[in-house]
Amino acid sequence: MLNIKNLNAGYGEMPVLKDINITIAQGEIVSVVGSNGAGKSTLLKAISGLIKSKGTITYNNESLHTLAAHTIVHRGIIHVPEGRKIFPEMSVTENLIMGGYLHPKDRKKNMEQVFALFPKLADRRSQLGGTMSGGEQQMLAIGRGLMGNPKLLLLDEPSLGLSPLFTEVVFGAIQSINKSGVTVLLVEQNVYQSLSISNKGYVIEIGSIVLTGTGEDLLNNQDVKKAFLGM
Amino acid sequence: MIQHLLHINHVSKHFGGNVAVSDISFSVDEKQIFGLIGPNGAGKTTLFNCISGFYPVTSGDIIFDNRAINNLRPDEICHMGMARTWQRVKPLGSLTVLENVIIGAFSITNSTKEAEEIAIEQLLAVGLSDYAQKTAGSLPIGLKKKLELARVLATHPKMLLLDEICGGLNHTETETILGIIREVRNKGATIVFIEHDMKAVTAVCDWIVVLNSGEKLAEGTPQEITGNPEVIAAYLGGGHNA
Repeated sequence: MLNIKNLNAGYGEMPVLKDINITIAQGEIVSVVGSNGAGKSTLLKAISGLIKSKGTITYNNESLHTLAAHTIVHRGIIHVPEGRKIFPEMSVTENLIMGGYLHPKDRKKNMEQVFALFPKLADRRSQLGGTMSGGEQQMLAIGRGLMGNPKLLLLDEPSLGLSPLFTEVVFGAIQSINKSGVTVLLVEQNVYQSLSISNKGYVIEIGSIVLTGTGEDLLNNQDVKKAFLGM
Repeated sequence: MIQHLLHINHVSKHFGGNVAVSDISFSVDEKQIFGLIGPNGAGKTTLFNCISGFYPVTSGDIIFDNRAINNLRPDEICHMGMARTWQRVKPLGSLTVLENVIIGAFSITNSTKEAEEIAIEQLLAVGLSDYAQKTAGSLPIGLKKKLELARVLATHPKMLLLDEICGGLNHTETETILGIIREVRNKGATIVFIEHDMKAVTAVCDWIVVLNSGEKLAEGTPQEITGNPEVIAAYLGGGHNA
């Protein structure tokens, strides 16, 4: 579905990603784990067209490099960014409507699904996004992404700021979103949970992929255990 | 005798009809590492905002270092020796990392040279010295969290309020931060710590208060809290040991 070959990207003259190769098959959950500053968010930004990159990114046999970010959204690649980036002066409902801008016919159905997933958002549908707690904003950011009928969902640290109980709920939700036919690329610091639900994982260090394998392989890898799981 | 450094006395905070914090009381002892946990929207950050002077309380008293601070401004409270970090990080984005920390240090010195020395020391402590000349706004979220910590440490606080300082950090990075927190405590500071990473909370906290829907649900040692069925039901869920 998504094929990334020799991807190089950065900001200005500072290179961040070096010769990245990643493949994602339809229906998979794929995790990318690594330290802060390793280039995980940069990778997602390159895929969704928010930053320029070199190399090839093909999605269903079409090159994404020639497409603008908004066109990439039309193709069904939806990016839930790190740090929430919700619209603070808009209500919960309005934030969700913005996420579903391209699909007005599905708005009602999708919004019901988001509210079923995050009942707290339903309770606060008229509250301004900016006045909600950090964790509630995170729920809103994920919900807004789901409003866009994703085929490939890029999630940048979806569990950031969520309580342990709620983190379980969100990881469960990612699995059920995936079962409904959505392919997921997940960037997480919660390495245990994310690799546990992933078909495949990549470990990224200083802009390069240093290790890849099934989620289970990586969970049992000594280096991964030591660096990310504290075992 | 152990001294209470912070008293929260029947504190409530309402936003219109919305009760964010309801009649909360607890005390934090000197040199304690004190955990404040609870589900999303429980009122943890709101309580921090009240303690650090960013929100006026609706009712109740906050006593810090034997003085009522309810009506003091954030900068006055900072000068009394209390510093806080922000969950939604607030670096001065167009300044360098070093300049951000220097600004923290200016709360205890007027000398630029001295402030810079303090700042460099704190960047080393949190492991950000390689990023000193980078623009603060360009850092990824985990490093912005470390910058938040360096900036408050540069005020040489008696009490630190840390709001999800480990959010967005992996295990190794979290261990580094926990090491810094222990060291700061050993040097005599008191820490109040909002965090969802229960491994981190149980590893460093002496005492924990759990908030739920604005109310105090429980308080106790990490062992008591992680075994409390009400806390498990409201907050921890089944998989927190994973």
